[in-house]
Amino acid sequence: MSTAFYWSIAGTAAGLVLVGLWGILTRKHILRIALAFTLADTGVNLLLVWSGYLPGRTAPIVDGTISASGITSAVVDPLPQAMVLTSIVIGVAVAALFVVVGVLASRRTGSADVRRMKELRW
Amino acid sequence: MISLVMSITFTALAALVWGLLLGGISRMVTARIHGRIGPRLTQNFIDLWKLFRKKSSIHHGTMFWLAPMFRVAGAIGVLVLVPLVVGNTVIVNMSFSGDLLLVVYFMFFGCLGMALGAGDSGHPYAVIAVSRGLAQMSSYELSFSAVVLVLAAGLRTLSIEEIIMAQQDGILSWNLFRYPFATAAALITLLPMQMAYPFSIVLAPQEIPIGPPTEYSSRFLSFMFSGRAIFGVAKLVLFVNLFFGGASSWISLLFKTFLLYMFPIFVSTVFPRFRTEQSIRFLWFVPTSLAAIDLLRVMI
Amino acid sequence: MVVALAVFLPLLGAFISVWLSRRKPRLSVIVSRLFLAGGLHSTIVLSIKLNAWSFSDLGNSIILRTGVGAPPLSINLEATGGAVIAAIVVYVAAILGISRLTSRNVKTLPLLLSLVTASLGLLFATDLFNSFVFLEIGSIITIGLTAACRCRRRWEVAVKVALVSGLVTILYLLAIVVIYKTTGELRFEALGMLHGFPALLVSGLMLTVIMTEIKAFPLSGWGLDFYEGASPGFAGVYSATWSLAVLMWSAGILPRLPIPNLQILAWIGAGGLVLGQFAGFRATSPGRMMGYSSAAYASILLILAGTTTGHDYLQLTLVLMIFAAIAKFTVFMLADPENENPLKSAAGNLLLLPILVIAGIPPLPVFWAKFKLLSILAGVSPLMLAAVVLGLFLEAVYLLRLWSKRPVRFLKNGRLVPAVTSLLMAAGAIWLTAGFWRSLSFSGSLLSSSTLRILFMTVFGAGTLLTLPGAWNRIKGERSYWFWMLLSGISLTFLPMAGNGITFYILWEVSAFAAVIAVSRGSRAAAGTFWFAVFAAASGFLLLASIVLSRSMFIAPGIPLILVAIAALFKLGQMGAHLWSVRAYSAAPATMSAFMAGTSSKAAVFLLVVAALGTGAVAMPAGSVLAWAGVLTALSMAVMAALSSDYKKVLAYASVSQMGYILIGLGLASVMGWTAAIYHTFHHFLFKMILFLGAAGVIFRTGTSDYNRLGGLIRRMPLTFTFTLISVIAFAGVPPLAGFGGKWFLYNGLIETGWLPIALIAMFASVVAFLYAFRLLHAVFLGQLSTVNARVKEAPLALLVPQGILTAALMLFSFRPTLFLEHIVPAIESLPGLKGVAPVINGTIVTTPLGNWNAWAVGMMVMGLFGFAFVFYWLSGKRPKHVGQLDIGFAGELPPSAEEVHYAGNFFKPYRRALAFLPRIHAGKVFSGITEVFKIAGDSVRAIFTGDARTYLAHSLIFLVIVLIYLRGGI
Repeated sequence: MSTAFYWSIAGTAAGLVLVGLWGILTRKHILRIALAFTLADTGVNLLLVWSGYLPGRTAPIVDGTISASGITSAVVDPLPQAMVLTSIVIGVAVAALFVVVGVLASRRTGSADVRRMKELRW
Repeated sequence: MISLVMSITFTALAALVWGLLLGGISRMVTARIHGRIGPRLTQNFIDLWKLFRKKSSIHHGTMFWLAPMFRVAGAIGVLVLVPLVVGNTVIVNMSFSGDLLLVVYFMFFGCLGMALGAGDSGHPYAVIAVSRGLAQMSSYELSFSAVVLVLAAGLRTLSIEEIIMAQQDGILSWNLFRYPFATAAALITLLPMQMAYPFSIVLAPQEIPIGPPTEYSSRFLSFMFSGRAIFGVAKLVLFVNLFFGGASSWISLLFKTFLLYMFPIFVSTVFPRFRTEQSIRFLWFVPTSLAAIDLLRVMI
Repeated sequence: MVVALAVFLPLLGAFISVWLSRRKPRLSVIVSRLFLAGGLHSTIVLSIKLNAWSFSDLGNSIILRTGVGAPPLSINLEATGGAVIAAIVVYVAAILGISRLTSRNVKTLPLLLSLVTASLGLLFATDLFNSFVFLEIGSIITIGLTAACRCRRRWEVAVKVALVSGLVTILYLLAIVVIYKTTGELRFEALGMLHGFPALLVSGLMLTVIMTEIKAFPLSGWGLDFYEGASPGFAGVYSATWSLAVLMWSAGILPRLPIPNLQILAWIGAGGLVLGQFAGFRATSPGRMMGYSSAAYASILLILAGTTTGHDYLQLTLVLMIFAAIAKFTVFMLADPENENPLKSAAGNLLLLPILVIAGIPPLPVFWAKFKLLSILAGVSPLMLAAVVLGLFLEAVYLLRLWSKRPVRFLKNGRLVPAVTSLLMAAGAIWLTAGFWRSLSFSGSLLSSSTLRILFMTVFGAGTLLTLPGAWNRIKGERSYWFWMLLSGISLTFLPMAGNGITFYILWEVSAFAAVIAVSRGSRAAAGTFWFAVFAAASGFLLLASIVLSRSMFIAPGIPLILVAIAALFKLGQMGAHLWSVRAYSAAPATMSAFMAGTSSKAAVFLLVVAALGTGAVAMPAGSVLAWAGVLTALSMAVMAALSSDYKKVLAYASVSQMGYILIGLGLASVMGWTAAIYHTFHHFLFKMILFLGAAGVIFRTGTSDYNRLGGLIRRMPLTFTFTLISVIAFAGVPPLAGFGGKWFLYNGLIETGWLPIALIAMFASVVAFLYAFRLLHAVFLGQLSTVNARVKEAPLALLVPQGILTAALMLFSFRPTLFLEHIVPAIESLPGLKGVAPVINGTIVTTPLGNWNAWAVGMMVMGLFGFAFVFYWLSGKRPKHVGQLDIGFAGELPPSAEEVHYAGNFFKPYRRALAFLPRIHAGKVFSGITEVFKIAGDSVRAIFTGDARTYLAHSLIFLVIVLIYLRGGI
């Protein structure tokens, strides 16, 4: 994998996060905000995987191609991959809950516009 | 002790006689100014005796009962706390037991007692008069306090004895000349103190029959009268001591108090009565401003 | 193993209850309780193992290894002493809150149990990713539980919580990425390995995440909405479980942030505290108030992280956070979910303790932490100290407002929870007070003169004892208050023994707040209590600030002294502050008024005496300022007293007015002035107690304190009248009774010093005193007896006997003042720094350079003359005949029918007319003006909390950008 590609992943991820944040701040429809949140979450997860990538190494799966003795120098860091799994699961759970809450809230208020959900303030 | 009691008895009796006489004179003078003949000089003695001898009498309660005693005790008390004649060592009474402040505050004793009696009588007019009287009293006490402060701070003493002694270097050393504005203020306050017009709001007969003593009669009233007569003399003596050089002899005491007594009478006969709030405001501002001039002089 | 049990037992319970709650709801609650109890047991075992209860080795820990290797290769849970204690609180809250939370919807049971696990996980977490997992679990459960309640606004809250936790997730994961990429580590220690740009980025991200999570101002918008909108039951459990865990977790992270100068955290916290509490000042809903209070505690955490380290930091955070959590939990548990304005109907008595705990009133546990924090801040920056004190005061104000709404109704079965939590708070108070015991001192060294010390102790002690019997005669609507009065009195009695500032402060505050409680139990106390409490809090905080500024003794010159002086003036209820004193005196139970006006107001005199002496140069910062304050108070309050027509209100104004003379005396800073002040202090105690106790008797028997409905009571209550008469003559300053002495010394001092204008106004004020003195006697006791009161009885003995004792003392000291003066004058003379000469006592004669006073002679003379007049009258003729009150002469005017004509209302009408030229300045208006300014400030601050969830997200992001720019040192 080239350095350019390596950094372009980081760039994409950062871009996703930024787009997501922009969406969260500017969209009014609650489901769009959920979508924007998912975008940003994906970006962060991508970044997490990227952070464990070490140039020139292979996936951390012990099979015939790599020997057990040289494993630490042959594979990429496996920990972020484990973490990202957790993170994705959590992200899905949060997103699902978000959508549920959003839908029920919009039913209650009669609108999916977050601007109308500010009875509580000050 | 015996001599003290005798001296007090003598002072009180003398003051009673002098007070009643002055009252008689004032009735005559007022009548002459009005163009009437007026009563006899001894009319007040006759009135007092008549009241004292009356058989029937009513009372409304304990405080009603005690008020005349308060009045008499208060009046005699003020009198005996004030030195009478300079250098007289026979009749000194209690004048060494307290100073000017004590006398000023003790003057309220009799007033308070009378007010309580008026209150206990349950007569609304009596209480209205008390309410007016207290309001007015608190107003003239403002300027009178200023006068007291002028004397105390100016002469560096509160002792009446020493205030008198400071005025013994000829007529110009009198506080009348030393503190003319304060004296003027004091003379103005003497008017409401003696219940003279235009400040006679307490005993205003057209509005509230005779004020606090409305319900009093017979012997109670005779006590009130005596108290008032003695109290009047005590106030005159105090003023003479404070502003007019005190008295070097009994004659001069009688003379000075007599002249001083005439002042409210002359003012009284020619002025109409203030409304209560007018009186209060006048007393707050006019005499106090006068006294303040001397107060400033004393401070600087 | 124990750690694992502690963390995961509730999770197991959660799985079981999911299954059980559908079939056997009741059983599932019991089983869940059992699991929670098991967890609680494990945590207690842990805490004992770690010796956490000494609060001294909070860093000890037990590590639970979850993976194969040792850290950093595996994930671990670490139970430190502090975390374990917090965990115990979490468990207790969960066990107590379970019934409230699940009473409607038992299906929320698994969520509650999972929340406990998440909280414990977060408390014990040692690495950032682990924390992330627990944080997310906690957020999800929070959203779920919010949505599960039956509140009208649950969806709105849920959406906001979801949005904010979404953003936090993203920011936190970004931080994790940067940390892991840079250091290859995720333990908390990794934070310390960062340098340069990553350090900056991580600091910004983590600070934003933490401040959003702990709801620190200005990132607290969502938290406020949450506390207001969520069901009280859940909000309570949340605050003592999840919120506590997040705070403790944040406390672990904050000091490790790779910021070069951590003090910036303290500044963020202090600024946030002031601004946030200004906004909180405006809050009306109880839930929102608790939200703002929560923000205050978050800010305090930031301040602690920025200014303290090591052991202090651990101890202070722990104490502050757990007791605030318990208290907040209690407040919410007392709330009634049926009610739209939940706390209004909760139990008022039980509400007070948690509120005082949150406000940090000594000796409650949070106080000790706040005191230590303020002491530390005094060394860091006075500005920060001022900000924090102001913030804490504002917090106390709205908390007290919350309480003073006078909630009355108990919840059904709602007593267990507050009882348990109150026990916990009380235990904390005792535990911490014992820990700090050595810093207290009862050597009495604040006031060197033992005579004066004994005098003040006598006043306080005798005042307490003499009012106590009367406290049992309560009128309708009054609740029992004797205990609080006694508590207040006991603290006062020990006040002169205080040997240092902190001891003094504790006694002072205990006395003040016990009095607040006692007042609040009056039948019409609502009006008086709030301002009383606010001024008590204000004077307390001023005192506290001055104590910490002057390092434990508050008697340093300069700013501390001014603070002390203002504190004392507030306590005295001087003009301006009379707002509280007059309202409280007239609203309190009658005997309590006697205690306050007669006895506890002297505490402020004591404080002024101590403060003036402590500065070395006795003069207060500006004695003349004090004297002017005193004389204007004396006059204005006397006029007010003359014009009011409520018995107790008149006494209240009169009392404040009389305290003005004491101020003048102290301001003189001369022996004469101080003699006047001390003399008047003592005699004011005597006659004001008599007056108020007399009033208590009248009100107890007639049920009213309105002049228009009293009158003529001399016939029904002759003894009360006699005592009242004597004390009225005394305080009016009419010789031969004792009040004259005070005035005499005072004018002597004033003339000696040359303060003639003050003397003039003081004299005038003392004459105005006649107006209300007579009006009082007349309106209540003289005049005509109303038929309504025709059958009232004499006051009860419990009130008469103390009055008799006091009157006897008053008479004794009236006739023989030298008995008192021969002890007091030498004591005052020996005080350092007083100028002028002392009065000379010779037998019964007192002589000053200006005049003399022989009270014995004058007294005997008056008695003699009076006796003579009486006997003369008695002997000189027949007894007069007693006639009825309607048999009065109307000078020819005949009233249409015999009717009562008691003249009491609008008594000094001409006086009022004569005063008409003065502008009406109403203290209430002045204070509502100040309040208005505070409100505008609060409104402009809280305008940022628009209620739009996206604004809250924007706050976090803007904050992040600002922090990054700041840390970088510019753009």
